[in-house]
Amino acid sequence: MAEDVSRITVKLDDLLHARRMTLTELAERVEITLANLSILKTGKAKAIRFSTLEAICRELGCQPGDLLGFRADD
Amino acid sequence: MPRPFRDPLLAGTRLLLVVSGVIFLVGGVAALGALIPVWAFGGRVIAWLAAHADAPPVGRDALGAVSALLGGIIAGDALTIQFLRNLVAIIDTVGQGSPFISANAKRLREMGWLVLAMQAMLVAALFLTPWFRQALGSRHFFIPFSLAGLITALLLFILARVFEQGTRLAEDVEGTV
Repeated sequence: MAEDVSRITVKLDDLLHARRMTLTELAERVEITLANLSILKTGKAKAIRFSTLEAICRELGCQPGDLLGFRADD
Repeated sequence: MPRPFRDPLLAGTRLLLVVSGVIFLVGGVAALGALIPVWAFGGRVIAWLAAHADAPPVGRDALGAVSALLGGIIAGDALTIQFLRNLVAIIDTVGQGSPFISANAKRLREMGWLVLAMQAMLVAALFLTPWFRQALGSRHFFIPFSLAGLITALLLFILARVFEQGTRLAEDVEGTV
């Protein structure tokens, strides 16, 4: 069975790189497990809680739109 | 993930169910083994029944009645053992921290059908009670019957639906961060 590929993209890697922060550091600051943040970073998450979004935006000083993107059909 | 069987209720219940399963297995095997001497020494069995009958004479189909009773015990034990196996498997998934899986919904549905089958056997035996009384020469032969089995089956079918819903919810939560 083909797995559904989401067209929502997560730009956490870019944000972390820009702020010279590691995923482990962010995980400690937002109090989310490294495993769950890794799932988010690699685009394998099916959903994101507002509380997670809020914590990430607070620690990275960004807007939700900076973290998430939408890949339009080619 | 929680470690299995830290919960004394789960561990105790599992042990009780496994021991019960072994007892039912021994009972079923004993009933199966008893069929051989019943037919091998039919004359002596009939003589014993005649000596102990409270409403003689013993019918010509006494051996058939005894065999039917033993067959009922074997079938009932087999159904009960399968029921207990499913319940132990469900308890194992609870201990492993993931009870809301489609396999458990399937197990509960199967358990419902097993209980219904047992109930159907009791109804059949209930209708055969006059024949058993006549064949065994026993006025006091009776089949204990209640509707508790039917209610239990309905409860299990509803629980199966609950677990189906729970499985869908668990799948939703699984990918949420």
